[in-house]
Amino acid sequence: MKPFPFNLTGPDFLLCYALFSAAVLIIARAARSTRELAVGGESPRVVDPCEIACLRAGRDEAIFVALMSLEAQGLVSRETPSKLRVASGTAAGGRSSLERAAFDYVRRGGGAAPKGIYRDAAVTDAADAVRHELVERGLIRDPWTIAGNVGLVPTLVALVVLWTVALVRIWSSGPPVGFLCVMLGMVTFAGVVALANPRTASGDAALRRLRLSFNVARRRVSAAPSGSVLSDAVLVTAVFGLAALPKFLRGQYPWWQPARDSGGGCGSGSCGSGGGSGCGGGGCGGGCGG
Amino acid sequence: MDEGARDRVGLGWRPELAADIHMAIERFDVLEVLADNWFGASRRELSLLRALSRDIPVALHGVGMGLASAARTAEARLDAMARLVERVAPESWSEHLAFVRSGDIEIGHLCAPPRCPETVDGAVRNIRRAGAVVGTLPVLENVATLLDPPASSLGEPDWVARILKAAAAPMLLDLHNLYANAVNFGHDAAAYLEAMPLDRVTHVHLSGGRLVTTGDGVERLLDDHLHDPPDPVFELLERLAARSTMSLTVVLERDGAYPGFDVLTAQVQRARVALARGRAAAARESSVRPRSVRCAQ
Amino acid sequence: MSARDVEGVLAALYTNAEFRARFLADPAEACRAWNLSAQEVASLASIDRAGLELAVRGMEAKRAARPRGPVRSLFALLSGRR
Repeated sequence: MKPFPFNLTGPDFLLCYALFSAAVLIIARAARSTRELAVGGESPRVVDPCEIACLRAGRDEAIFVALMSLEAQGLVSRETPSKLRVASGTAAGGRSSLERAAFDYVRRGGGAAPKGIYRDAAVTDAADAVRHELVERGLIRDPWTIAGNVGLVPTLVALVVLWTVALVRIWSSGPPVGFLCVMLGMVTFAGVVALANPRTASGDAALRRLRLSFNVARRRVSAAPSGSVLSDAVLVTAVFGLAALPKFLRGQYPWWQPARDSGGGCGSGSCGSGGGSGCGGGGCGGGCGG
Repeated sequence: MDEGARDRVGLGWRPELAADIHMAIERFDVLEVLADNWFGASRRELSLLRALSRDIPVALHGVGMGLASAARTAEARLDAMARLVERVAPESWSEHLAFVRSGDIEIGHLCAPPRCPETVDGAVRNIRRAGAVVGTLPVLENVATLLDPPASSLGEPDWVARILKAAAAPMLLDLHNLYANAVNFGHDAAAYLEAMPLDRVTHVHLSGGRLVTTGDGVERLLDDHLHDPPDPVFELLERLAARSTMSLTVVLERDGAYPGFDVLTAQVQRARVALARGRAAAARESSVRPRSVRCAQ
Repeated sequence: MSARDVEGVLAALYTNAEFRARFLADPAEACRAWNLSAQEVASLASIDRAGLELAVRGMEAKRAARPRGPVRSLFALLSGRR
């Protein structure tokens, strides 16, 4: 008499396998979220535009927003549509170490090839420091460290090993294992997807808070008429990505945008949390006006 | 106890100001949120309110209960506020001494009811029920009115004082509402302030309005929350701080036509200065003549 | 004295243009639908008409400006309805 669940056959066994795997992944992920929220806080506030961009979409996005911020501050300007230069008479500039590194890159002549900024050692070091700061705060995880994935990686590995052993045993005793192989592949894929979000639960909460807070600002910016000067553009880009800007602004940036493989980010779209749907509806009603 | 040391000044949170508030939350001691707009909010949307309440004290401000009415406030509205209070854990919640509906008629606006013993009794019953359902008593705000409510046998300060005393509830004194009523109905604003139950005032609103005119040229001051608080409102705040023995939580309200965020924070700072001047005046007076002081709960 | 009925008349004045016109033409007649004392009717009859005009104007402007659609209205909550 084979022990449970090996005494099950066919679809019953597959169902048991699927339910057990799903339960293990869900519990492991929930346990990890609980731990991460305890470390990073339930809704931390991030205010630096470069940190926000890195939180949303990785290191290269932080560099891109640093360049945008420098331009918004008037520290760099466009000599031609595709060439940046520092503002005359400015020896140094930028509100953060990453902005200062980006400014220095342009000052050294890098403005002629803006996309090279993503490979410049000084700039990438500064961007890595931003990323490291977010890891220290418990907002993003380094997927290759044990600390970043305690619980989930071992769980996934244990699951895969367990079911591989089961698969071999079943195969060796005769029954077909095709569907079981498919299920094993799906479980592995689900586990990898669960790992793919570089943000911790705290990081997701922080980004969600930003998107809700900046929702009206995003609507205002995206509806701005052509030629408007938009003081919110840098922060809106940091929170939502370049797609949130109106067309007349978006078209100015393709030549200095990073490539999409931005070092652990999720791209400029939503990742783990969607765009804000608005809070309080369109405005707060009549308030208390008499 | 130095009640002035516990005075706080903050801003009414609005979606249009949310981004700026997120970036500069340290400029404020407290935020006030319009509760009715959050009653149907999703868990995700409420996460923002909970996040705010972890960073800074948050007060909920209701506008739809219609507590000051001879009619009974609907249970559903009290339940909605109770659920929101439970989910957000604010430090306080407030509502208005106004009626907003009658029978099936939704006025959609805060209106002054007839000021008479019957509405005093009705308000007290509603306030006590609200406190029992929500778990804490609301802080109650005076309202501005463009017409003196008919069938009134009590003046506004007397009516407000009777309600608050019988309900044992604290007061949110809206200084622009007080100023508007004084201007519109021929009272001296300072004397009107003195006539209010200042010993119950724990919260204050500052806002602004504009003059509106009938076809016959009759002018009234409308409290529309779309303008900067005028100088007399800050003077009233200073006067209140000089008279009050309670710690005061002051909130600047703005519902639209938003100026730059720096303008709003400058008004918040101006309120801090007015409070400090009032407290200093009280300290000078009490150094001559000691007085008993109390701190807010 | 019925403050509730006075509130009812005020609510109708603020929201119903047809009733308001009838009231301003003949307050006593318009108030017959409510259980009001003679004193209350007299007090209502001497209502501040300028204030009423301005209050109604402000309320109508606010109602017109209120966004339509699925946005949560300030006064949309009735028995748990949003």
